[in-house]
Amino acid sequence: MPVTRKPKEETAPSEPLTEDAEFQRYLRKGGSAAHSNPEPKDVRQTLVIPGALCQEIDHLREKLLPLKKSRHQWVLEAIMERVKRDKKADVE
Amino acid sequence: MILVIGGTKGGSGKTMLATHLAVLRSTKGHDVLLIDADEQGSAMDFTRQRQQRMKDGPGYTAIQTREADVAVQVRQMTQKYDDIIIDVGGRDTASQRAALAVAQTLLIPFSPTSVDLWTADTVVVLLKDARPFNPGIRAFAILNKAFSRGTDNIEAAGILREYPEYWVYLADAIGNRKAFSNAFGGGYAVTEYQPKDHKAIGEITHLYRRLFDTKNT
Repeated sequence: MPVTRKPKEETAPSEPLTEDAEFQRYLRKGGSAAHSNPEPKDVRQTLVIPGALCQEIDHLREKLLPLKKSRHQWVLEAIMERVKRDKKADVE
Repeated sequence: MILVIGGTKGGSGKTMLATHLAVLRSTKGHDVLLIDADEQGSAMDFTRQRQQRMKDGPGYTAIQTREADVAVQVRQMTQKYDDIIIDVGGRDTASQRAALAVAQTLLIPFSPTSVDLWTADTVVVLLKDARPFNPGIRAFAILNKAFSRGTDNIEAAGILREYPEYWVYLADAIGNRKAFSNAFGGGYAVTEYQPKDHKAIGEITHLYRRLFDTKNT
């Protein structure tokens, strides 16, 4: 049969809501608009790395075998570590 | 009348019905406000398309807003317009809840498919939640995009009739007709679109009369 009934699921009955704060609570039970808090877009940034530093990075990446990371991934993780460190220092 | 075209399933044809009813109502000389409370903004896209195609403009006023502001706008505009038609997205959103708190009528289109009909219980939850704020709201369910053959429509109607304490089931379905999507894409209602699809025109006109009870209009 192409049209079937939805499987039954036990749900708790909703309580009556009368106060203004209750109205807000009623509204919040519904989800927000999909783009009310949009994720920031990725930013493309050209990075010039001194040759010697780049060689050093590649050397370190080679040591990561068998899970060698791309240079991009390695640099990105280094940036994330720096952000984490600086945020921690900012809190302290 | 303050009419919400709602439900919790996307793709059931809410925007198509909302825009058609706005066009039909305004064509009869009523001052209509169409509120697009769906973040997709398709009713506004339709209105922009209509603005470009119709030399006298769309015939109604359209605004886009969301969440609690839907209720605020309706309360502010209800004296200024004869009718307010609100198109909400196919999810349980704050926008839809705000609309249900201030509307007189809810129209819920369902396509005759299991996945659409399964959302009936979530619409019931919405209505239950809204009624303490808006005890007078009346609701109608209708089959939209109904199939031209087979027993699916009958089976779907049987399921929708099982909620008499929540809505009145409107037995005259809207068919899954290409005329609706073709007309919509051009910014027209099927009543304005060429070539004329008389079945589509008959169906939407019947729904319009049923909702607006046009004895005196």
